[in-house]
Amino acid sequence: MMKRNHNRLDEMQELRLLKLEGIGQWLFFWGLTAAIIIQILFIPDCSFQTIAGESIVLITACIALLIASIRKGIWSRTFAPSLKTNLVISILTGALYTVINYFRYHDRNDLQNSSHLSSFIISNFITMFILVLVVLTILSLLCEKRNKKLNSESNQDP
Amino acid sequence: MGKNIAIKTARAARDLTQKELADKIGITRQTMNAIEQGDYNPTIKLCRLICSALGKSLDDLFGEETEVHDETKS
Repeated sequence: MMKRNHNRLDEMQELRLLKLEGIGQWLFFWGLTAAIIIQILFIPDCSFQTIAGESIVLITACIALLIASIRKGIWSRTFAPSLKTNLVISILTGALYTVINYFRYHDRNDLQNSSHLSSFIISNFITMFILVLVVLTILSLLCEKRNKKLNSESNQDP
Repeated sequence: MGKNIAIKTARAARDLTQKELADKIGITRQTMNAIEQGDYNPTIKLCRLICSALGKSLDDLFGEETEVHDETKS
């Protein structure tokens, strides 16, 4: 008889629940992200204290998931860790960060000047682009290294 | 994945309902039905439990010839 001591579910129910939990995880992730962005955009003089709760939860969960995935040598369902995908993600993140910051600060006097505005946009974009690219590059190298180690440790006949 | 007629036939030969077979193995009737309908691929562990409960081999119940695909039905 199949053991169901600590788990009331059979294997099919367990797989279904895992899928539902996965969906829930993404709802929490995007919900928290949206809550942070909305507060940044619509609360005047929004400081870190305002979004501290959501930020800490989101960052902690992301770091935990990232560490767990890299330890298993898993990067993504659809993308292999590569410079091309890292560049695309860095560009998109840089653009999003720039847009959010623009809407946050667009009524500042110095941004009415087009040259200041250009500098603002370029500096915001480049800062975030470089930061994300560096982080993604380091993480993807770690993931590849871990993957190689896991595959070399598997039980294989010499 | 097609329906698993072999399991249904073997179960009927032993005069077992889906619920009775499921209880014997330790799974839900829902899962047993999903396996017979071809909606769920059981693990090898569960396959062996089903075979043991029905007194059949893996080939008898889960071999390729046991699948019935809808498109072959007339």
